[in-house]
Amino acid sequence: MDLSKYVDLFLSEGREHVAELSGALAELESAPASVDAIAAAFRAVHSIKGMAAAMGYAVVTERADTLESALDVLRRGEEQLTPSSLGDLIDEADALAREIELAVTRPAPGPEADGNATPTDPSANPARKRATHVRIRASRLDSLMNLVGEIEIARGQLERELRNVTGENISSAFASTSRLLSELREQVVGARMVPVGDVFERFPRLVRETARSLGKEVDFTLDGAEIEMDRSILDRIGDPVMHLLRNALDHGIESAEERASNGKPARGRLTLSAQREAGYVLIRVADDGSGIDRDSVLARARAAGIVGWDTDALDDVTLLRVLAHPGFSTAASVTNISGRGVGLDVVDAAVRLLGGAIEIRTVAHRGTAITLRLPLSVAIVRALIARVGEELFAIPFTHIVETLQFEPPAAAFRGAEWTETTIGDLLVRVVMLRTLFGIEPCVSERMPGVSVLARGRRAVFIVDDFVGQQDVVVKRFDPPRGGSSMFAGATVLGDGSPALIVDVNSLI
Amino acid sequence: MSHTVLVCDDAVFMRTMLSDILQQAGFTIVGEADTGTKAVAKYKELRPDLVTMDIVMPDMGGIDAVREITAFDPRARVVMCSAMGQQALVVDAIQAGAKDFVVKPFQPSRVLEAVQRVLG
Repeated sequence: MDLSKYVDLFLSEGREHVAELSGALAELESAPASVDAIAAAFRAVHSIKGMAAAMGYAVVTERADTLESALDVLRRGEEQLTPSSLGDLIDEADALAREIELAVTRPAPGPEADGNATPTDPSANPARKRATHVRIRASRLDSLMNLVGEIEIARGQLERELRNVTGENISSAFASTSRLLSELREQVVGARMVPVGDVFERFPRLVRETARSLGKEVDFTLDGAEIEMDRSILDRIGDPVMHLLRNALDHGIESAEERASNGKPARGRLTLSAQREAGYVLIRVADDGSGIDRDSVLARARAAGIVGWDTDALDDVTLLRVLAHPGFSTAASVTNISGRGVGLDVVDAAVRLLGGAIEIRTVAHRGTAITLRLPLSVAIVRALIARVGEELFAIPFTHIVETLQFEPPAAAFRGAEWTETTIGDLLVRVVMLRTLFGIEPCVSERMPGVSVLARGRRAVFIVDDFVGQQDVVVKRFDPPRGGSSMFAGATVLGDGSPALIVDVNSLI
Repeated sequence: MSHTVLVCDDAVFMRTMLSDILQQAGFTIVGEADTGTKAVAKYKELRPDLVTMDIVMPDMGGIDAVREITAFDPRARVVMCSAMGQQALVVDAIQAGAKDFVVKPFQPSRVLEAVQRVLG
């Protein structure tokens, strides 16, 4: 039986069922007990399974089967849906949707193997014509990336050796090798990249459903769906972004009446955008709602001892520090504060784990914008290389605000590893990395410092001197048992010398 | 005259594939239905020689549809189409009046065999 003529039908109907599935799952977000939604999701997955089995798409069939079993348990009432199990279902559904798209791009064996197949013109077979994708194990891409890193190191050593050799041919050959190598690295990094739309495309529906259940009118815009980022990062920011969107709908955007009485258009605006910025992807959730109520956050923060009683206003940086304070924003006592950053500590933790950072801007009655600054790839970060004692350390640019020369007051650092200084009107902790890393401290009149920002806090790290900046290939390692590490990983620099990558978050 | 068939499945894909298999074997597809309710209504309207019935469909499932169809016409010949792992439901369907069943993914030979037997 020739299955190729069913490929288009499989794809178009498969997509319809995926849409039904995600619609049903979106409904479950607001009504977790909806029997109808569970039944609809089950039917959609069941249909996909049947179609995929008929086409001989084993991976799709298997995934659909897994998801179907999970839904069946809910359908029979044997288990109740929890937010986390719903999250799993949504992830599974996304994976299923991707597999459907992938399945049609590779030739399928079909349910019956055709033993006497004759070679035909590949272009005559639509299933073959689309075969422009192959599946590669992520671990294989990781090894490729590692190898590229090793070659970069070898290139660095070669460059050093070549300084003592003259010859136009040699330097031009070296230049093209270097150029090809950086191209190769880009390609390898690029192979792990997928458009953010892959994960974000389910949000418009989700926003619509949530807004409806809250009785709010909202225009939702999704910008930059084509922007690409590392698959492993993208997979892990779906939930945090969803969280931010719900926050904006629930607590940011006001009811139509309230908006009208403030002279704002009745329909709220919510935008999710992705944007490339020199080595980062910025994911921003912006609303034109009420903004976060700084005064009530400040009152709570004082009461909770997160800021001092002398703090009389919260700027954006301090506000983020308060909201990201573990447990602050999820405490039951703040559930009634309008526009609060509910669960922002959870989002913050997820983003930090990926080597990213959060930024927040909020203006009363104008709205709130929360930006997730994420590395393009988990494998490579741009870092400042600094020397502390005899060792080299890499400080990721994600967190660096500026470099400066710190002039310590006479009594500074005496017997302590940190002191404080003011930058602008902000009191900032100054940390001597030497002391922190167990190296004999050394105080001089002017000391090179790196001003960093993480978790809404500013700090200055004092180093011995700056060596330069470069893209480093991160080799992660597990923190020592029972303790958190001060380092996020290690790398090998161009000249072959190892450097530890400082985990700014853990030092602040 | 060739036998007439009503194909019931909520997936266009499945209906198309099944129709192709049956048409190539000389059957005439007189109607399609994508819900159990429509299947019952179409059966009453078209009186086909044979019905192929999916189990999982919106609105009314295939088993209830078989029950209604056989209540209306005890001589109705219905072949259930079930997915892997639905053996328990197949028993229900047979009790509801279905004459035979095929398991997805369809193998044309298996489909035709079941259909011929039911019509035979």
